[in-house]
Amino acid sequence: MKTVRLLVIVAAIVAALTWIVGWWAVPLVAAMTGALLWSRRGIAWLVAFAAAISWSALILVDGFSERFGALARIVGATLMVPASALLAVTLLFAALLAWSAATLGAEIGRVTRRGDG
Amino acid sequence: MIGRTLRVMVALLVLGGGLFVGARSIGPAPALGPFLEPAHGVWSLARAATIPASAQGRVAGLRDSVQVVYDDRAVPHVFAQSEEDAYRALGFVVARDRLFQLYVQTLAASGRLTEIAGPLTLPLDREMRQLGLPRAAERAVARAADTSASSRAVRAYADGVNAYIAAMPASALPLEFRLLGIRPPAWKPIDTYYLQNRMGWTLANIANERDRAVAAARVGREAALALFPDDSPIQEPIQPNGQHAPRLDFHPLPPPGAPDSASMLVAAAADALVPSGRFAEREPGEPDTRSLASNNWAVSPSRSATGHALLAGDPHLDLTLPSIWYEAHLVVPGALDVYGVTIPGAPPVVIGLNRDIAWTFTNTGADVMDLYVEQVDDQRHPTRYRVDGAWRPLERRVEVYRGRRGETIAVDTMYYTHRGPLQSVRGRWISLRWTVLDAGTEGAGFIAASHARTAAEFEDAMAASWHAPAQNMLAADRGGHIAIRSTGRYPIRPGTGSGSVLFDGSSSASDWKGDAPVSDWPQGFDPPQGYLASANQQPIDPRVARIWFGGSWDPWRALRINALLRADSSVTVDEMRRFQTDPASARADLYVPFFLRAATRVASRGTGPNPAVLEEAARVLQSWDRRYTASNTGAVLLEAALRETALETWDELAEQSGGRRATPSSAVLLELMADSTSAWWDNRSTSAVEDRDAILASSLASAFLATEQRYGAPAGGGWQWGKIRRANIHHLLRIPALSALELPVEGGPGTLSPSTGSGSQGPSWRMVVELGPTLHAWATYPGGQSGNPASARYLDRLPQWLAGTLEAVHIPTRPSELAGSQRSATLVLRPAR
Repeated sequence: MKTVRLLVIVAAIVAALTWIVGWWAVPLVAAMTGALLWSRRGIAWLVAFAAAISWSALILVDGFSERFGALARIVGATLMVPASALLAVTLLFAALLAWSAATLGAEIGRVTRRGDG
Repeated sequence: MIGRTLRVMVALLVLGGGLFVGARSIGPAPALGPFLEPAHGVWSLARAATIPASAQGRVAGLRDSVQVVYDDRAVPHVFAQSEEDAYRALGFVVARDRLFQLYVQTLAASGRLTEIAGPLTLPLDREMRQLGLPRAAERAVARAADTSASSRAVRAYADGVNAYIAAMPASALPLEFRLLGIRPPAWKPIDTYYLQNRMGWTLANIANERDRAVAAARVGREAALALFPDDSPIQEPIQPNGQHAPRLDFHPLPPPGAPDSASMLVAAAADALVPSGRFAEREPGEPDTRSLASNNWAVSPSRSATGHALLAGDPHLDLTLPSIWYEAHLVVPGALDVYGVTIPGAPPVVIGLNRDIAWTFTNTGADVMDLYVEQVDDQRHPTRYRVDGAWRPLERRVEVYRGRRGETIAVDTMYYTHRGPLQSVRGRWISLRWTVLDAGTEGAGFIAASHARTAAEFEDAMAASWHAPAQNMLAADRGGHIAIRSTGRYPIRPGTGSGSVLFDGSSSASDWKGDAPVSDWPQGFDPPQGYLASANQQPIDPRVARIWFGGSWDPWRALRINALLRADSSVTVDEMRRFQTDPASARADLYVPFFLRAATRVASRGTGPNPAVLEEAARVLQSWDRRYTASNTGAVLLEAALRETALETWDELAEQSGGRRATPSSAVLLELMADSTSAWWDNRSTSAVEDRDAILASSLASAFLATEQRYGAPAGGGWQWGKIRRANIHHLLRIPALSALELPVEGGPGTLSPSTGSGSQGPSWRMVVELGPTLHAWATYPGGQSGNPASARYLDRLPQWLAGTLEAVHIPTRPSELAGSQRSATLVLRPAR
């Protein structure tokens, strides 16, 4: 239950900050979360999953637009990839940024905590 | 420990790579971060794909609120309290729909495409700058009176564009900007002038002069002048000449003569002026690839079914997505009420109607580009040029071409004489005088004309302000009057009056002596024949012309539309529409009998091509109704046969080293048909001496075999015109996914809705207007109002365009006249606080 709650909170923060500051929010939030919760097992994967969920939710907001399908097809065709692949790349991009930033954040948190000790 | 270290290393690599590709574009790929980010990135474009049903905005400079109502065709109807406010609002709504188009067209027109495309587009940019077009725009802006109506309109329009850019939500940034990773810059009034000059270049005509020079270098001047004549051998002029049929002004063509090597300098100068290969569109042996053309015609009440004047127009230009046109309606109570198409980037309605008149243009195509051989003080680094024995300073201008990140890609030093840009060509310095470089008041003409109450007022308003490029301006009014005038500046040259020579720049006597008066321009007002028509044919019968036009004329569409109008004394609106896509061909009607007769004669001689092949080819041609419908199977054979005939007949003009070749028009080839034993018929590569029929028969047989080899047997379905001839409407960046390609069309070379070459040019706007007590209009264009490829309005008009149908346009006098079902959105613009 705690994991789900954490997942939702991180996803909500990523989504809100993405809306406000853009894509930089993902590595920033992920790194900070990793640094704060460095001792939590699998924190990097959790943050990665949260980033993917948050971006999925944001995309879903536009997904209700009647023109979303047309847009996906056109952008995909422009970049010469299927629309579904472009969607996957989008989520993967967020997830990879989040995982890597959280991993490094956790490492920084661990090193800092050791120094404190 | 090792596992953690490895994980950290991998994370560092992934994060570094992610941040790099997120922040930086790599090659053509955009920076992925802002591109993929879902809140404001490319996915959010779905939000902007549909204009909100209700919106508000603020525009600096507005004096009063402006209401914009979008109708069910996505056409904005702008209701303002002043004309300047109307143009401010127009700038806003055009930017809302076509922001990227505004940007990229300006780059192209000002020679700055390298700023988004890098060195790839350097030749195109050089062409613009070497022609002096950006400089001319700067001079036009400097000359324009700040208080003139057109200057005010241009500035107001810029206000509107910039207000939209400032207020644009991040989600609305057009896809193309995202792909390129750039933001739209502010719009400047000079950008409008760039576009205007670019249009002047699009419609410029120097091809005939260049082709004649190339031909003269092969077969001598006398023959070249006959092959590329100043006057069309088929006369069906725009200014009615009192005849009730075309006049065939055929003369025997002089035989090939001795090469005139001096003419190569003219050809080289023309090529130097046009480095992007504009002439290369004409394929070897292809006599009729012209599709940058246009039609317009008007019918007097006496010949219309409703008793009202009718007008039709369809300019044939580059077919692009988004379209070159943006449809709009501007209403200022008591002052302005104009509907039609604007060019995104320029405020006036170019083709359209008001409550009293309707108007449309075709290109006159007069040669108003002249070349001068100049004497300079230093062949490598000139600083002065000599006129009448005295040295004059050259104007020097450094042109810097920049890349995507502002880096310098190339630097050119340009020189200008009082005539225009100067270039070194084959060791000679050649300057160019061109009416477009002196233009700049054309916008004022449109604005004045939009207030005209009669066709005559329209013509006079345009005559007062319009200089270049010359246009066949057709107008009709509610009073039942119709009028046409080939409006533009026609310079008076020294000597014979021809501009088709290299002038001696060292003498001021070579300069233009002024301009031809309006009374000498081709024109017609309420002619007895009851109709007027132009389709890029020679504008005036040379027997009465007082101006040298020197263009290359296309008679075929004029022949057809005049035949249709002559035959119909009770023209309906629907017929006007059907004429615009009429698939019949005057060219085919004249040529096919020659091929059929030649096949019969040669078969009876017992010589020439395989009799069975010739018989079968003649059978296919004979059974064809000579209409370029999508399902016909004869057009492909005629086109192939004509191409083959041109190659065999004009073999004397072939370049030995694969260089450019000049091919006389099919009108000249038809002129040659009257002389069955002309020396031109002989194919020099054979030992026999061929005559007309031998060449026609062998061309027909060869064409049949080649077509059969390429498309299979005639009955197999592969010869259907609709499978072979396609229209291609490219996106401005030529991205296939954003383009409409391989569209089956009706029409071919010389039909009223022509389709030739790459299929990327054609009818860019079709309009029919009935000028009764209340004006009614029908129109369409290939594309849609929105520049957003994800919008339902990006391509929604294409089906109508392909089918040759038109939509009734709404012309409300006030917002309340548009019923709820006829509205798609509203926008209220208020003055900025």
